[in-house]
Amino acid sequence: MKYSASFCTLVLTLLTAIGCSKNTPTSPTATTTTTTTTTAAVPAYSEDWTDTLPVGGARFYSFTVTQYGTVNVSLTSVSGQYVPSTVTLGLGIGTPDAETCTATTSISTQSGAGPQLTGTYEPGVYCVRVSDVGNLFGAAQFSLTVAYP
Amino acid sequence: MKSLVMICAIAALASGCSKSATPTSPTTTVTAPTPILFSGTLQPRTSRFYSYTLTSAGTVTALLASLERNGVPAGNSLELGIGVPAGTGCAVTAVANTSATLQPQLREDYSTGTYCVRISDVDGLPQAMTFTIRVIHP
Amino acid sequence: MIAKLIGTILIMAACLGCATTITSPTPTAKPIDVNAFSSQVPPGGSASREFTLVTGGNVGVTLTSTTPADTVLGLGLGIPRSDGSCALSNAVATTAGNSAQLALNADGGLFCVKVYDPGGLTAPVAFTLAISRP
Repeated sequence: MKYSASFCTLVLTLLTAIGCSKNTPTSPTATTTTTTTTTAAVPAYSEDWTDTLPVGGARFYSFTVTQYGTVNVSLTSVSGQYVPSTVTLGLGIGTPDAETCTATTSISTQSGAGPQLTGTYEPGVYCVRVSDVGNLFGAAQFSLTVAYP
Repeated sequence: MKSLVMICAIAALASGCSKSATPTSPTTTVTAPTPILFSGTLQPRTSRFYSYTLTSAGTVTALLASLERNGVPAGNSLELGIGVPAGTGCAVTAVANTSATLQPQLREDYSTGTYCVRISDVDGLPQAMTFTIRVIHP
Repeated sequence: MIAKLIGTILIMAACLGCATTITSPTPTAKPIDVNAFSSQVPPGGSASREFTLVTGGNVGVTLTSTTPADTVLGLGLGIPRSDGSCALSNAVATTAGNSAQLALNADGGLFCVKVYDPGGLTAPVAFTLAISRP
């Protein structure tokens, strides 16, 4: 009896081990982490945009960045009846969203040689936004240059 | 002896063939489609567009569901397009000239990124009209 | 004899331990679902109701009764705007009847039916309509 029970246990153990062999856990493989530094590409494209900014309004212009790199925005001139060339406007960079441009970076600035705004961006669609921050008494004609990689 | 081995084998098979060893398919996460409603007034000979971002690749449908003049449906045709925001507008790559219906006029596959739907009056509406567009994307 | 019996038991145990589950096929969608909607249209006003199409197909709307009888009402199909109003795709001006005065093909999704004063109502008009859909 004792011999039979021992034998049965042995056979059971062997056969179960065969059936459960695929569930044997393995030790994790050691991994090596390599850090890669990506260099920001310089602007390769430049677009000029001339438009009219209404009092209390905003206008935006979209562009596509094809590789990680630097975007420069220059508000080069502002003019119009009752609009001094030194007027301060809102200038921002963001992403097109619904019927507007949601700026992630924005400043208030006068026009000039620029760039007044610069940053590095991953590939994607972006927009530059010009807005009246409360300084306009008449519609303003503006010119802007956006340079992107 | 032989009988003993057979009985042991039955018991081992029953335990060895347990459901825990059965391979299972990987779980797939399905993102519920996102509806966008784009409504407004379209002046004659003008365009309007609406930008949205896809965080998952998939099929985008655009439906010009309604064009109304003083609350009454109008049968005028407009140009409905899907594309990418560019410059001061939406550079469309898929276009349909259509009146309002209840079945999407555009159905396209896109990867992740920012896109736009555009509505344009190219034929010349007799007056400003109210439009409603529904875009469904992943 | 005993060996054959044990062999049969072995086979049965193997089948039991490694059995595959068989599932029944999913039944196809049943055709035509009809909903009734009753309300009232005031002079210059409207009443609308949203409904969902689980699957695309033909949607029919029947203005089944009005009080007073033979009143002409506007009947339209469209999609709900974000403010809850119904943006119409198509509409007709009609009296009540037994068959659909308006029928459109639609994809699955959220839609709405609207009954409105096409002009000329001087008192509220009660109505009942039926929506037939896949």
